Amino acid sequence: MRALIQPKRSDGELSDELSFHLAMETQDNLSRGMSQAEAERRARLELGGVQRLKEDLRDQRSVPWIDHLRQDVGYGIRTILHTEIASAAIIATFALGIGANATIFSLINSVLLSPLPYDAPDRIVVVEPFWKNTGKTGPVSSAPDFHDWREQNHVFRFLAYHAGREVRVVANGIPSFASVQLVTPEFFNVFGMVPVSGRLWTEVEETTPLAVVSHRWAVDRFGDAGGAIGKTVEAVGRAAAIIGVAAPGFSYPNSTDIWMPSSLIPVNPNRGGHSYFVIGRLKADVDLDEARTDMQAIAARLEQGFPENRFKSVAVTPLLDRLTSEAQSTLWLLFGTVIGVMLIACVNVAHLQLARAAARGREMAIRSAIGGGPGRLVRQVLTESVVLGSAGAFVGLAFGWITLNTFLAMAPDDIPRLSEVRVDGRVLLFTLVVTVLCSVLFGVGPARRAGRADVTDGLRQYRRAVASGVAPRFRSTLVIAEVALSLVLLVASGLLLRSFVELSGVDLGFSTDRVLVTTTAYPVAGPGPDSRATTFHRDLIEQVRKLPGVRQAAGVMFMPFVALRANSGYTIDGGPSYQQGETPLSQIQVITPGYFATMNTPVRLGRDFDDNDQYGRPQVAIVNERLAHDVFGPANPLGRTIRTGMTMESMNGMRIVGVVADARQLAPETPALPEIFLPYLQHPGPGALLSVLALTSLEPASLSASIRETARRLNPDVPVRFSTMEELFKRALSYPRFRTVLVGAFALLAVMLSLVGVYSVLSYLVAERTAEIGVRLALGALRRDIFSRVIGESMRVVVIGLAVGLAIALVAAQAIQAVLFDISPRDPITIAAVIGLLAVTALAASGIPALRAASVDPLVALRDE
Amino acid sequence: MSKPPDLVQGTLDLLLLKIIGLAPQHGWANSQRLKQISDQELQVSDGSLYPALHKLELAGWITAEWKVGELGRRAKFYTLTRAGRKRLEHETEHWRRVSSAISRVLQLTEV
Repeated sequence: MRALIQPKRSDGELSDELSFHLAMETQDNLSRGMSQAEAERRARLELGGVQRLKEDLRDQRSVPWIDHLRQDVGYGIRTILHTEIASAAIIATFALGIGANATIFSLINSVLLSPLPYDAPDRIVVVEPFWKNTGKTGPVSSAPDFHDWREQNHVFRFLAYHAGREVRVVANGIPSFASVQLVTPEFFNVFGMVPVSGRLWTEVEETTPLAVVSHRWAVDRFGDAGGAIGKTVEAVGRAAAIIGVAAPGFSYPNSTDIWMPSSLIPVNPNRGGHSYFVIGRLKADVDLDEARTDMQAIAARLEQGFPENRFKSVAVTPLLDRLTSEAQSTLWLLFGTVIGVMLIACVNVAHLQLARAAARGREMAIRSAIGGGPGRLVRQVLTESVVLGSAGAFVGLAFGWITLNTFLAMAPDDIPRLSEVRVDGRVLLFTLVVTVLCSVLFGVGPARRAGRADVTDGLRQYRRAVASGVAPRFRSTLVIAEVALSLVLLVASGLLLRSFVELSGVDLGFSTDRVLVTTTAYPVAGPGPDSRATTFHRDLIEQVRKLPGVRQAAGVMFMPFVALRANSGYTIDGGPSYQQGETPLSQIQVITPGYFATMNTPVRLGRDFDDNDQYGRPQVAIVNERLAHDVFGPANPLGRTIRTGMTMESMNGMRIVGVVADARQLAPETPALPEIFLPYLQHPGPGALLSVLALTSLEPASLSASIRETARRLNPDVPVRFSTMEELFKRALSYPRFRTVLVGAFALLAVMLSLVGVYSVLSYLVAERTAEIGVRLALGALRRDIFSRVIGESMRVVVIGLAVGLAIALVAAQAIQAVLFDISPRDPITIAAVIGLLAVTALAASGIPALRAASVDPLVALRDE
Repeated sequence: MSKPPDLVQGTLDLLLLKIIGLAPQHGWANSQRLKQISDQELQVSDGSLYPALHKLELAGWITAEWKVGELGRRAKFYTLTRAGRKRLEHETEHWRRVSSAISRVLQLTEV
């Protein structure tokens, strides 16, 4: 212990003891008649190296590794300060790699790995229908199925459903949009949510107009949570008393403001009507497999019992997986990319370390000559490597923190849990592990060379000592690895970029240019014909059309790229008949006359709706080309009768009066599905929510004020809000954009690091061979030959790297196939471009060292030697 | 000059304990005694002497004390501790057993 605390004193005692020994030995030797000098020399020789002996003794006395660590760290820091350029390069390279990793890992950690902020979140699952014939999982279930599941299962402690969307609400007399969910009584129990104020409703209050509101909404509207209790909120046509305020932060699903009992509006009693999101909490002792088995058994019974349930099984998915399924592919892709960047950074660091080790060959030889054991030297180089790595990690974390905030700003809103992203202990731990792993892994090579330092060689000609042997081959391997990794990352980034360009330029079937979207919600008392809503919207569209700067205006129920859509099976009179469960599905859209002109969607056959297509007049419909082609092939669909289950009116049959071009309504990357358009004025049932589109000749947003004023004049109780079709499209591309920009940025970073690597390795090799080149020149070699020889050698390595990278890329690109649009993962253009780019830049990076080699002055080079 | 045989592993400790047990010594004296007693047969390099002494000290078998030695200089004198004496007895016993076993083996003649 004393040895540890007082190394100085022990050291002094050691010296005393050893010098006493020397003195005695010398004395003894003198008495045998030796000369003074000889006596001293013999004594020293007998004892062996005093310094080494002292080290041995010190090792023995103290806890040596702590002592060594302290020395090594201290020495490491001093060396780093002395070799500032190489060290700065290593730190910067590490920082880039670590920063990129820390950033992406923070995202993954918060979005994918952290538990959801609910009570025992691993128990919460999503229950959805699984269609055995198509292999698809639908997010929504039917109410009768839900009730059967709930009554017959043995695995759920609570099972609930929710359904809802943004609707008009009135609180404190002010109409506005709010996100309202209608939920069954056990909904809050599924999450173990305890209200911060007030209470939840009970099963017997299922039909009472009551509401629980989110903490944020309560604070927004009423100042604080307590202030909301007892107040009234008007929504879905009911004036509901607020009885509870949810725990702060609870807003499931998405950002819900208000929850109300599901029985307040009529429930769709049809087994084929899928409108409800089912969510459950498993019993404590039930695992996922048991739950699936139990639920699938119930679904099998329902399939037997009801023709509508044909092919319908059930899927049980953990809530976290369900929420993050879309973000997962993007985030793991980014993670793979930054790991590639990190590897390249590490390869560069390995080379820089090697260069440092080479430059310090003489130092190592000296240390070894005066008694530094090989183990000690290895440890020292490794310690330095870790010290450098830690400095890099420190800078990298700071850099990562800044980039993280930049990424968060540009990340798609629909990446779940973004607000939860932060740098926490797990991120720091991850960084620490990566740092130590990389510093040790890539410090080992140089360290082993240091350990092998050959004393005589090293002292005589340190440069040759280190340059000979495995080093050149090791360096070539580094270059191959860097080129290969860069190629893989560049191919990935190139594919994403091409895919993104394709996607941005895809023919949507409608134009997004200069279209202002006004969303309104008319207060209606539940579903059912209500001519007040249709009148309001008809009047609004008419007046908007007259506003200066508006070229065309129309109404539409479901906006493109919004998850909220309707679909239904359809049949054609005189067309094919279908078995139950095999009826083809069509998207259902409800529009007003002028919609196609506003959206710039061409009408291929027949006509658009007009003002005569009203309630009470013959029912009409327009179909898209896809549906027309699916059902009628080349035959003319005009005049045929189509039926669909959307509304009573549409069930009674509608005459097809037009065929329009296909439009990508679901998502830019999804081709158009069969679609049936119904005229708004003939289907007023669900008419409370309508978006009014205005095609403008001005900047669309500049019209919002006058449209708001128009709407207010018509009815001050209707909330309106605005966006543009351009914004909707941009939003729909936010994931691909996020992926493309980030992977692209990281790939560029990787390429830059690699080029620096290629350049420095080659410069180093050329510098090392200056003498050899001098000899060649002296013997008459042409400078041109020297140049092309260096370039040739470099290119040979680069080509091997490209080949290795290509092989990896061809396999690895399959992994990103799912996120590619209209591009093969082996797209030859991308791959050729990437190879060309890398070859040219690598050539350029080799050019400078090659030129330097060619301009060697033989006299100077030989004198150097 | 023929090389003196290496010490059997671990026997240096035993010899040092024995010598220090006879009288407290400093390091150099230890080395001298060792050479004298063994008729130069067992040569311990001074380089391995000190690590061995320090190891014994750390193990608590000997203690060290700074006193004025020859030449009027400070010298570190080692003394056997109680634990060291026990250790010496144990090691001696062990050595006897091992060496007699080896002798018996060497006395065997081929049949």
